Amino acid sequence: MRDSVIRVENISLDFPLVASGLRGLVSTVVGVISPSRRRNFRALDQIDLDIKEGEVFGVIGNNGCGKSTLLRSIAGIYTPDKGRVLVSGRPFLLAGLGTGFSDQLSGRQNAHLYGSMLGHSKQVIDEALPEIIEYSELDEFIDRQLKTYSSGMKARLGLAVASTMQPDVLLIDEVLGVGDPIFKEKSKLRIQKMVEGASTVVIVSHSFGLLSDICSRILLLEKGRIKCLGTPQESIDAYYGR
Amino acid sequence: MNPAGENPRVAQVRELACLTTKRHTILAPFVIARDMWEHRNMLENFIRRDVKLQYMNSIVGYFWSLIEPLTLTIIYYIFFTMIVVRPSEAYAFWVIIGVLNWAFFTKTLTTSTASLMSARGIIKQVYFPREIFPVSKMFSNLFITCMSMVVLIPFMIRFDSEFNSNIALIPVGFALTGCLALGLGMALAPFNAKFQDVSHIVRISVRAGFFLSPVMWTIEMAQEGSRAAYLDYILLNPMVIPISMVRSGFTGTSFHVEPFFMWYSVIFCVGSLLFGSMIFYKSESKAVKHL
Repeated sequence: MRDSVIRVENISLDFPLVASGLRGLVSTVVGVISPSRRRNFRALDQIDLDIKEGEVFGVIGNNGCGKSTLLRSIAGIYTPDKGRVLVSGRPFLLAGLGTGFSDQLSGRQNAHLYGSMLGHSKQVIDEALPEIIEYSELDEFIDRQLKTYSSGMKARLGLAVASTMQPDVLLIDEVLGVGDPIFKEKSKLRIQKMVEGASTVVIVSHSFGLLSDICSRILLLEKGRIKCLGTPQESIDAYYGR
Repeated sequence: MNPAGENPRVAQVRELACLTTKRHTILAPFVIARDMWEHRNMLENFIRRDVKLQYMNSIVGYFWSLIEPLTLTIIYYIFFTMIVVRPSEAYAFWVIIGVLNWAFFTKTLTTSTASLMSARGIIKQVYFPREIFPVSKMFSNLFITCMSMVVLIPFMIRFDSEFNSNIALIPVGFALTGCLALGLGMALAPFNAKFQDVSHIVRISVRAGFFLSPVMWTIEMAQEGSRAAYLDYILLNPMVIPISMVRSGFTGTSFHVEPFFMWYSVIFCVGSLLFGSMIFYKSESKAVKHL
């Protein structure tokens, strides 16, 4: 029996619905007085998963079905209201390349800032910098302010820094799809390399072709509930209602 | 099972742990202190960013942090002369010390209150202890304030500041100011994520607090003659003692209040940091859902 790496124990997660203006204040006061009358949006409803070492686990579903919320719960960003998530080691979430970048700072400074957010020491980032510059094809742009960058350049820098991580547990949230076709191809390769280096991967994507190639199992979510959990073919069939 | 030698990293099997487990709220100050130490490289980078952004893209850069308190001091000096009496010559010196300390307080309070909201992009993508946002704001403002203290040198020469043991009160006064501002900011940041109104309330309160704190006036003025009747009420403001401490450190003249009020201020400031950190620790995970 292989060891569990991610165990999602029957989690539910609500997002509070807060109206703006006076109505929001009134509903908050009401919510404090009687918690049962709080208005919530249930993003995840009794999700129970056991992901084993060595698995590449796919998650599919329509927009707003809770895919990203599930991934963020595994990453520790959201705390579930019920149940708990157990992970071995520290998972790394690869999502939204270039978030946390400051437009005013240079590429180099941003690489240091983002690298430190990922938990790298200064020395590690310094050592990785030549490779980051080479991969992101920024050359002399690395010392210019980020506001002079195109969105593709930002994405390349983001992925270059993020891929210095070699996590055991890798969580990917639909990051392909920025930049020119050549970079798309290049980023695909880089992510594939990260996937190979990690022992366990959870990947959220809309590209079923990619998922059925690499995944051992796929989870289909619908309105925060598990609709289907099985082989890639089973889940994709379930998605199309076959 | 992976065959041996295929991927050595796979072989490391760690125990399953829950990332979001929280310690008891009472322990929050210790947990936060430990987290800040463990993430000191990240903290340093956040501070560095804030300080750089402060001076970047401006022609005179660093000098803005000198021009700002100087301009305010000139305005207050003229204003004070107009409405009250001709103040002592050293009044400008007293005011500029007050201005620096008060600016440190307000900037720390407002930026740390808004810190979760302004970092929501990062918070939703990367997980690390969120205390780092308000704490880094306090340190970057402290750094900027220290840099602008250069402006005091000409005043110290002009008014023959006497260096004595009072100088030890400068770091104490700033530490108390930082504790109070960060404590309040940490307590308010999670609520600001839910209702942006908190930021507005803070801004207005800070305006009122300016007049209630010894920025334009000094504690000696409040102790004079008939005004002394209100002294006990004035000293309920925990910022009176820290500002007076810093002022006394730079001018070299001591100030006297009842020890009770000294302790009141110290306990108030340190206590608000402890309580603020507990509130933050307890409510940040819920607040993140509002971002």
